[in-house]
Amino acid sequence: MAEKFMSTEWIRLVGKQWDTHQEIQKDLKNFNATWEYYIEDRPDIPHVMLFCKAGKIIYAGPSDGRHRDFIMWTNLDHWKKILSGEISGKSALMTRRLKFKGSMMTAMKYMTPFNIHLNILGEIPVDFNI
Amino acid sequence: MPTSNTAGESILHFTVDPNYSGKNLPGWFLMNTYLQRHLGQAMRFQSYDGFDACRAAVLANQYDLVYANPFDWVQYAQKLDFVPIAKPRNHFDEVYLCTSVATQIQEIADLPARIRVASAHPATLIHMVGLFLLDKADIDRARLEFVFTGSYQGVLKAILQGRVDVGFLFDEVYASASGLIRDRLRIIDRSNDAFAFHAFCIGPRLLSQRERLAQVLFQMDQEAGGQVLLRDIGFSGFAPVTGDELSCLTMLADEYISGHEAIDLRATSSLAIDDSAFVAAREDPDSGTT
Repeated sequence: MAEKFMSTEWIRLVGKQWDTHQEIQKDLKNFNATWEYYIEDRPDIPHVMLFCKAGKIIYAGPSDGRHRDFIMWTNLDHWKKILSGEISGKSALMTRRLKFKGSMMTAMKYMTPFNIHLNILGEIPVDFNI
Repeated sequence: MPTSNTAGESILHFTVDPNYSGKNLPGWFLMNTYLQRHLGQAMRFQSYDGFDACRAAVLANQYDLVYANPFDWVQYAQKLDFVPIAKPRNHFDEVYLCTSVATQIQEIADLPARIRVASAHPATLIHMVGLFLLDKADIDRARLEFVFTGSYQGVLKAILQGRVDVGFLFDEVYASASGLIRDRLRIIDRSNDAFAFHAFCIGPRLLSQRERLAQVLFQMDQEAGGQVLLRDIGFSGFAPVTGDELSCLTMLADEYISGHEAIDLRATSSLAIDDSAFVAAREDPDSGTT
């Protein structure tokens, strides 16, 4: 069953799916960061976040007020295109279709895992009727 | 700095990034002639051997048109109100980690405990991405000993003369080197980011001709003379620089030039770093850029 996009259940599945991707865990083995997602045109939907420690997701759930190294947001239509792979991660960043707060240097340094991470979001069966 | 010729016409001044000294240079002199003819405006081209001299001349307001590397054009836009108007189409700045074939270094793992690295200049994207490549290979920055050469030609020489173990080489410089030179180099890693690019930037005195200059550049690939010239300088054509690209690369350059590091610094280096530097590097998204 598809989970509602940007729900707690959905982000937890993202965290589990991450565990199946050895490549991103290897690429991010020295990487510790928190990041948050939200839908720009749906302020009624709570933000969710991931916490990555040494390449592994150690928290996936509602944004809980802790420091966030990155925040990523865009409108629902752009989220659909990003998750379907219609827009690549780099293109989404460079064209600002995915809005981004945080270190651009870090994003550039980790562009390959950044793209993989967006693919992982897209691998979860999702219900956009929210 | 517009000057005048003997006929009293004003002369525009044009320069390019110092990595275009050497083999590429004749093409850029021809580019100057091409732009001069299409703009109907006298132009004078000058090149520099090193980054510092080129930056100093542009920052001293001596140029109206510059084909600059990404960190420089961001700087010129911020300090001099230059506007980046055109970039090479489908062409990005990438980095090669090169060693001499005369060494036993076949891959990054073969680098010695103390690594001598040639880099043209620390304030370049090529230097930053070169460091990223070494970081990704788990090379502790405490092992690095830099030789800054001021230009990519200097990086080539340092590698070939055996003064360093590895060099950060701009891919265009490698591509434009002679076969004889390339045969003496070994690429042990390369970036594939397709993120940052050089751009033509115009100064305030050229702003009134912005549209015309942009059209000349964008249409170069549509006429025979322009196509030949594009081949000479190694591009397929030019495309507009968007506001979003400007914004992204400005963020990137600002972070790098101001001394921030990617947020994994403490994990990948044994260099002593105090906590305040680390906190600054992580940034507070609430006060960050969007």
